[in-house]
Amino acid sequence: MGTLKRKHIGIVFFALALLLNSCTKPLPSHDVDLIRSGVVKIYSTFQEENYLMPWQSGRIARGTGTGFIISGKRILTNAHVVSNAKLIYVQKDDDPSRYVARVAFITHDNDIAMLTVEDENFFDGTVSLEMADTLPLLNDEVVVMGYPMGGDRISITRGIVSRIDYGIYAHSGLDSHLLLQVDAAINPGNSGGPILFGGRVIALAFQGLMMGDNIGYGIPFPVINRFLEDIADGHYDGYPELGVGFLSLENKALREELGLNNVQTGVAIDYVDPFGSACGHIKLGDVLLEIDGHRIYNDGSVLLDNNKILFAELLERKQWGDSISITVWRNSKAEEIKVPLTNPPDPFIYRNLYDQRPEYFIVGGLVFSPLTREYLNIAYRDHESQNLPQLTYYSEYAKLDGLYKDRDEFVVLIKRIPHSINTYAGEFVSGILMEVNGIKITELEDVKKAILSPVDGVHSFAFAGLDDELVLDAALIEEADEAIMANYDINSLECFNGKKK
Amino acid sequence: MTRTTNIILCLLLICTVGLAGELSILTVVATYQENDPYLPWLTMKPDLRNGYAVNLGSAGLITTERTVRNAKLIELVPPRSAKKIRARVVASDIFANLALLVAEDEEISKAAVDTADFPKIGSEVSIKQLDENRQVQIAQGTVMHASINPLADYRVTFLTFTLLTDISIGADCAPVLYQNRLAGVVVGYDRSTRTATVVPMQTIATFLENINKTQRSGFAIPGFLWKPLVEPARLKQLGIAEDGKGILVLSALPEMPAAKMLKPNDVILSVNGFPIDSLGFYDDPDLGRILFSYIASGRSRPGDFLNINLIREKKPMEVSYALAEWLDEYPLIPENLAVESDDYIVEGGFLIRELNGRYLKVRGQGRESSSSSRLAYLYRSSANSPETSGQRVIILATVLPDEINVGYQNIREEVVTAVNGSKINNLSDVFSILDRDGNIHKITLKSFGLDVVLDKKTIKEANKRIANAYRIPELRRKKSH
Repeated sequence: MGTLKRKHIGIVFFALALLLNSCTKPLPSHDVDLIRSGVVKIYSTFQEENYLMPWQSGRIARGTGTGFIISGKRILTNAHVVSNAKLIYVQKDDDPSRYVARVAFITHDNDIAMLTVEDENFFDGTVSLEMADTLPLLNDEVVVMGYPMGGDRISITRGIVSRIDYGIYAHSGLDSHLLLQVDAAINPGNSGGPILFGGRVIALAFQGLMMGDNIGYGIPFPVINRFLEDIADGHYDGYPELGVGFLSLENKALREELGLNNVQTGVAIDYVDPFGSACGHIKLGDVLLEIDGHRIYNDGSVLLDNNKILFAELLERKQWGDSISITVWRNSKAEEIKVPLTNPPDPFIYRNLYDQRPEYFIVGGLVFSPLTREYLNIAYRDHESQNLPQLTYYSEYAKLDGLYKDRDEFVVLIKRIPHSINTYAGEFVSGILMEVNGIKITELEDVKKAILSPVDGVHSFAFAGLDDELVLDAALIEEADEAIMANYDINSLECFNGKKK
Repeated sequence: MTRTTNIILCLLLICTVGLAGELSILTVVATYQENDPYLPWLTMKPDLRNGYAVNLGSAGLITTERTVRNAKLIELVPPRSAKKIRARVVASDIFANLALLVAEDEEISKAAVDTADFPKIGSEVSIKQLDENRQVQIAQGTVMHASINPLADYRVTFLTFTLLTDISIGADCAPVLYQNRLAGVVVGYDRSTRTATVVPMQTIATFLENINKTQRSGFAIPGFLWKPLVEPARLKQLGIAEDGKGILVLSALPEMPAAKMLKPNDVILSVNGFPIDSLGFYDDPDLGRILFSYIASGRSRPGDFLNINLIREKKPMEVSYALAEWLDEYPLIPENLAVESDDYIVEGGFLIRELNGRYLKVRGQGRESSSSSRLAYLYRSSANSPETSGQRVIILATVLPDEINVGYQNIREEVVTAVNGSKINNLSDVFSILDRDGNIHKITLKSFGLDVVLDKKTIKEANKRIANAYRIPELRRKKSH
């Protein structure tokens, strides 16, 4: 979910932590024998995309991971095990055969994927694992099963529940959800496998903290269950975003300024995201007093069964299309408003991208592409890039400073393919394109359209934060494009995904 | 003792006395102290800088500005001596990297100095410096070429000469002599290529003229940003048929007279009658082929007119404007090249100050990346131009935690747009509001939909408490300019 830079903003989502009593018993080894037939090994051959030279595809690599079978002949695993996959095999512990599997659903915002197997005979002799219905307590013993590095056959490691927290899911790089931390060894290859307590799945093993000792993470079952509910209609809608930023009301002077009395608590809204659900319902200066019937405290937290969580976590369980009721303090009185959780997709937050081709448009050897997280990473590594300040500013302040207005995405000159037509264009690489031939660029396709109308015999490109413009001789474009395609083995000068809006 | 030995001893005595009397070059040892760029009431530890001072006799001594910047104590040490002579800075020019000192010793000002214009390319010169035994050492150099370079800030460029030397030059401001007359000073040295960068006597002479005027001034600059006009596509766009002639104007520098007379995309063909080629060079009668900015910084003074023939929107035109010097205070975000102590206000624990280049560079340890990307963008892009004269970027740099500012303590480096409900353009405005209202209790931050509010009634107490807790000697600093 979008996280803004300011520390006091809480637009992270957390699942409910229902902590009810449950018994703590180690899994008897014969149960392990029963369960192991539901834990499968996944082989994936995947191909990455090349975000610096998007006309060609990236390296092909292979990886392995773990998955587990659930009811309905479905296999759950991590999205990162099967992202960008060209071929997926699954294999049972006691069976030498590998079966071809297919991705049925893959959701990168919470790193979960569901596979099906073409040949349903695969499921003969397997068991479906059951999801737990209560989270364990800290110190409860858990067991991790899977196919990690260090061997080929199924492996079991054991540990305890160390922590139940929230944090970033590395796969998207941006979203945070509930995390289960265990000290059982979770190694490369364990990804996608079950973490079991009392014979039931409490989490899906998926991340570890490199610099720590014995810190492994799993995606807790509430996050998995939410995923299963969401895809039940055949379509994944994802997490709704409230889209607000707030100032905590810990300061008495601020509370007085807003007309609150000594007893009231809440948070004061100082930012409303144009792509959030709150847009049009919550205003700047509103104080959120209650959400879904829960009182909001001055630091943005609510109490749920005596546990303190951030109020935004309450949205974690909602599905897109649900509503949430919020009591706001506005104009010195309390008002209850119902906010429909129907926010549109936000083109100005940058997640890691998977299973899609990078879009690009090449003209005169200039490669234009929409701004992506991948390109930002590449640009930061290239110390010669002159236009990093503009790139960083636009990617971080797009909505805060209104840079996104009247645009659908930011278009960047990601590369210059050398040819005499563009000899002097080097200083513009990494620049953010504002206008071409006087036409405002709102999305990549605008560049293609603007090239149809040169001015004074040239195409001129204006970039953010630069005085000078890049100029190409319009009469030489066709010849240059042909030469560039031949010289550099480029099959196609453009790739548009024909996406949404 | 034999008669021969006596004579030899006498001769030695005379020689030693003669050599000890050499006062054309002295070592400068400057103890300096700068303020902390992050918490401006703190100072960094005092440190030393060394260089040479070139004695101009009654006019004073020349050294580089960088050596004596923010010096608390300046001492001159003559060759072959451990004697320390106090000196002080009379005037300096940050952009030319020159400073004039006067010594508290009459002997020094009695020296007679012959000067000469810097010689042509190919000439042989000598460079004086002091070796490890503090003896005068003469290095030989050959003049390789002349060029126009910035000496401190990219916007202000000067004529410099490059020498190839036979031995390394160890410190700033070693004098360069041509036929035994002072012709320039070394301001930079590259060991790997054994090349020295020299500021010629002509520039030092202009510097002395500038500071002796009734109204001190600096060096004139053309006052605009430009680029060579070599792209065939650009020539086509601007309708310029002939290539190889003329440069492209990008934008005028803020507060410069050029701003009223030049427009972006003007093509400048000649300056003061000198035709300019597409790389910006012209044929100087004294120096040969050199960058046109020399016409402003070397051949003209502030107040002189620059007459320009240009092409604008395909039509030839003539414009003219009076040249001016560049001041560090002109951009939206000044450099603070002179490393002056920053003005600031600490109110309710909020540190409010103006943004400058030094702050950004030091915060990020050389790369502004650890500062807010919005601030780096303002500094590094065409946005670094004030909309109104004297406009600055005011930031709430950090919050010193105290009960009065609870709830705001994570705020860092946000841009302040208004204080107590009134819009502000610079720190001066904030001081005015502070005087008007007696305190700052409401701060409007850019892109924050709500103002940060403090309890008016307890600010005074809070200020005292914060000054005590964090040992801040003065909660406000405003130097008079």
